Amino acid sequence: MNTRTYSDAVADPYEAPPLSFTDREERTIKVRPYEGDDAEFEALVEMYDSFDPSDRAQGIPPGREDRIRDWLDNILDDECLNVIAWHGDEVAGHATLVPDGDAYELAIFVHQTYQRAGIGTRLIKALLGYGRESGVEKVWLTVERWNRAAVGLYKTVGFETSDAESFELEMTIRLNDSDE
Amino acid sequence: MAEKRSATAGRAVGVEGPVGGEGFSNTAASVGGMKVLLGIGGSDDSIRALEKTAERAANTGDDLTVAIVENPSVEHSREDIEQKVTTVLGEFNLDAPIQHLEGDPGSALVDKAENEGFDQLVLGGGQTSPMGKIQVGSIAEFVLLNSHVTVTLVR
Repeated sequence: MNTRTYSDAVADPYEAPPLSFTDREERTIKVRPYEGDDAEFEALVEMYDSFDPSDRAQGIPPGREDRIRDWLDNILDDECLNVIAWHGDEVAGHATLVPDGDAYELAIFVHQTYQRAGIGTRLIKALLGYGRESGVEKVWLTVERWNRAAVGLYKTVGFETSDAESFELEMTIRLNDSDE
Repeated sequence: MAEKRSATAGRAVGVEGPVGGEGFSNTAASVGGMKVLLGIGGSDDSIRALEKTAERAANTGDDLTVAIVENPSVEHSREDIEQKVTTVLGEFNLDAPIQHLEGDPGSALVDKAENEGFDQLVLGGGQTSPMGKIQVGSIAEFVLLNSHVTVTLVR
């Protein structure tokens, strides 16, 4: 049941992490792939544990620490691609690609303390750069249609709407040409 | 476990109705149960809704009716779904009627719930994406927006 449509054209080749930049609040933000050590995991749990529930989307991040841990176990699996935006030892944002058949599903979260500082755009570009470098061809996501900031961000980096018929908008992007 | 139904386990509703009660007929309301319509199209979440709703009906005495609808995004045949429904109802000793609704599933469910005096319309609460995002299906979306009967999505 995989009927999503993807552009034939490959999106811009964004720079892959590690990379760093200064956000609009003059904070130094470093973006690195998740490497799987405990300190990284716990820092992520901390970020999601203090995440504003009003910024949840379609049930994620979950609202209780045990559920956050279960959910993170699932999306930090070896098969998934994860990048984290760090401000010192604190997680400012996290973006992930989770395999789904021949494509990947994308999600990105920026903590409320770090929103509206340009981090989301840099973080999602870093994830797409990481995906391209890792050979990912196709990426999709869903977004609540009233979430204009998110829809705008996805369009800016090259996502196109592939299904506008449901509650949520579905958007897709191609990072590499098909193997065939 | 023996699947045989005991002779006393009929419809869950009415079995504890007031004996010789005056002024109350033997309706669902008189025993505290609700008249519940469960819509099922065969998706995983609709099967989960069936199981939870059947369990609830067995405990509360809700008057349950199961309506099987056509969910275009599901591969199971209606026969498979009916078989599953029969099995689950049997596990809870429920003798709920099973009906097949034709035509657009959302509007058929809303019509039936409104025209036949149901108190509640129950559906599966959506599928979960690989990421863990909940995605509400097209049937639930239509029902939520159009039903005048209370809607429950089971998680």
